[in-house]
Amino acid sequence: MLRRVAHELFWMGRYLERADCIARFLFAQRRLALEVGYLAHSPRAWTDLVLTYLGDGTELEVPDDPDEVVAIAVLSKDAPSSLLRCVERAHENARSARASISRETYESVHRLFLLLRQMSGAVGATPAGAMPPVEWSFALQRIGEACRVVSGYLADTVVRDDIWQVLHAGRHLERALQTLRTVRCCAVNGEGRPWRPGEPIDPVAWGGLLRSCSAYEAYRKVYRGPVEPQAVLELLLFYPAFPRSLRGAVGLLRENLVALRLLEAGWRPSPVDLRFGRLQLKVAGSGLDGVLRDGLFGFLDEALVDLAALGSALDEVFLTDELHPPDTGDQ
Amino acid sequence: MHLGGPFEGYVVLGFDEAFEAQSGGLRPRPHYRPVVEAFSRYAPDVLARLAQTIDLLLREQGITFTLLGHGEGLERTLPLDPFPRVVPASEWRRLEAGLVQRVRALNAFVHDVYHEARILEAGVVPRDVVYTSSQYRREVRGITPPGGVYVHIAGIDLVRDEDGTYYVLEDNVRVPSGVSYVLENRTILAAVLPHLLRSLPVRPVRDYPDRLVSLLRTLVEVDDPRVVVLTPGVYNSAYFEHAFLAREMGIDLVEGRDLVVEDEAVYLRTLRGLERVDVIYRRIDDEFLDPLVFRSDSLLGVPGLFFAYRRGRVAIANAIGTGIADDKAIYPYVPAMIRFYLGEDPILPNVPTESPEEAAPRLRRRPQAYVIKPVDRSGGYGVTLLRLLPEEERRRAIEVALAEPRRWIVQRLMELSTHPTLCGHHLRPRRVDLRPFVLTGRAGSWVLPGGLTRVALPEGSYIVNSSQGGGTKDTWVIEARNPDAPSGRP
Repeated sequence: MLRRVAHELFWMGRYLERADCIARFLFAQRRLALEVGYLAHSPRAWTDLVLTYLGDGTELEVPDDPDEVVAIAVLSKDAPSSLLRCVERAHENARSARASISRETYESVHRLFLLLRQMSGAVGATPAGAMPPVEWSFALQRIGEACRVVSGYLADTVVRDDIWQVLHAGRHLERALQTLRTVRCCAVNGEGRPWRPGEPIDPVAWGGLLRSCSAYEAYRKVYRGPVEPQAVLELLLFYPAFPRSLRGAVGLLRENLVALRLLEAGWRPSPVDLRFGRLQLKVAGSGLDGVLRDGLFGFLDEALVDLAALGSALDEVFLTDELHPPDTGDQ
Repeated sequence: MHLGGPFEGYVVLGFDEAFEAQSGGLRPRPHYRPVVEAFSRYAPDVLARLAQTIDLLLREQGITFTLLGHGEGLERTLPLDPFPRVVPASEWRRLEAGLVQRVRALNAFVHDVYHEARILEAGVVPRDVVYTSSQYRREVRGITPPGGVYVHIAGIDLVRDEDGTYYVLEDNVRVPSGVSYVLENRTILAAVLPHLLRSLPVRPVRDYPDRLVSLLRTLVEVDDPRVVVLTPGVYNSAYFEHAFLAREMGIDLVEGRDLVVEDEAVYLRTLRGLERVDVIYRRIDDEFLDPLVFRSDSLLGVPGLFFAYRRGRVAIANAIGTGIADDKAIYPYVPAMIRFYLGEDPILPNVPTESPEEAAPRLRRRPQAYVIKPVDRSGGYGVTLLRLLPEEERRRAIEVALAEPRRWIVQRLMELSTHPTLCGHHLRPRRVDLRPFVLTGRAGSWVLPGGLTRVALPEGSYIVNSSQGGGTKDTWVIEARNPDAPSGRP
């Protein structure tokens, strides 16, 4: 596979996963907040939660109306982490790699892109084509489903070759990042501040945390009890059989990188080996007790930094210029 | 036959593909009868829905082209008219023979001008027309590509005049585009007009990618050669087609920056290191291919590619230098080429074409009967229909052409045949041309049955190019018995 195409596919995987995670987060958080009356009582707290999650450092004018916050999160052209921007970028990547992915995969990304464009009123042109504000739950569900249609086509129509591995390396790296970010902004105590062991939790925020990672039912099945902070953290960070847990996603990422011979391939460790090793040490070598003892948020922040560094090391691999022709003896 | 429904008010002005005038009205030509009957039965709202469905399919599948000159490119769908063009088998066989003959002559001409130049020696084509051409590549003199084939892929534009005679309007033998729309149009019409398509023995077009990749693989004598499509990138107007063909052929779509030349061999920069490339189906003009030899400011090409080509270590399709055969100033000499190289009379005539100097007296006397075209542009850019200009601008256009006669040709304005085309709820006559595609390898030529029918959508327009408001039609070559049908099928 071409290096340039690998780079496009890696980022296509990342942006698709990011879009999927943002859609899940907004859908779950909004529905839950509406159900428990949270939006009516503390709209500002909810707004802050969404903006913390998106946390892209942009100076956005924050409206008080929660629906307008959702509109920014979904359709803003200025917020780099808006769903629209993620999908536009995934679409650009897919277009550049169009000849390498299956027709169905490209078309499903293209339809996701058209859906977002249509919602933003950019396509269809008439103001009537824009999104009625009361329809956000429905819209978020449609976006989330469109993301999962892409996943379905990827799963069913792409050969398990380098293309598949690169795309999924991007997805799994991003998934680990997004799970960490979700935990980071939802693991709060009753006063909305970072939770510490022994403190009472905000049950809405923790329930929303599980739902944002599509982990609510997995939690019920695994732990068969009420929402306990330690158990939630164990599931989302260290439970290997749950594909959206940090350990689960990093395990899948490792499989992708090994298959691509980007990991454990040479006699001398590469920058990717070093970065991954650091991350792995943290993820596989830690247990929840140790993390809670040393500080949950310190762990989350360090793991986020390690993941970002691994992402940069992979980018370097795709963009590097030091290549030599194979010694085939046919010169 | 009474023409009602969506044909109500249909008027034939010159030569219409589907209808002929008869006393008191119009009669569908025999090969159009089933299609006309089917469309007659459609209620106006059904026709409108048909058009909407086609548009939706084109948009959702991202079947687009990119308009030039809009920053990073504006993606547009190429409108597909639901009413197919029908070509009867007998007519097609004549076209096929004419196209193959023409490509044989063009190929012989390209070989000749870069080797013995016999045709220049004999005075059949003037030397100065060849040597002043911006498409003449002195760098390839003496280089013979594999099998002596230069023009592997050709798109020859055909038009019909008032009496229905087919003429060749221009030869596209550098990087002709449009074949992806032929294949996609068929897929879409199969979805929206299944009954009609099924009821007629239409020759399929689906095997074009297989034929093309098989041809490309024969260009080198290597076991399991690595073939790639070279594209200028996502902002090129034909990027959709480049990606489409690469995917359909199961080969890599590469940009110049994905390739590197080492020791006069071409390599791909892959995730596992450099991998050798044997054949390049390039969709980039000669001058951008190699900045060391051609345009030094080209960012699209591959430094050193030309040297690998010259050493025969990579094959390029179409070969470097074929542009000399589609320079519009060379075009008037193609019938003479056919006689010179093949000793045959041309099966398909040229549109009467002259240099501005030759045409000057007639051009001044009856300017409205002529078109002035730049010799080195495509896509309909720079074409001047004198009939449509006010007096003053008309005079200026003629003076410009006469001032630099090597840069322009003068052609008789062809009325172009018209074809029923869906406009709102009605079918109306619109001008069409036809671009068939010819593949040529060591073993000979093959013509894709049909080709891309382009239609000038605005009323009265003569310009069919996609960049100038044109649309397309599916083209159905109808056999009495379908020779391509799998055996066992009735």
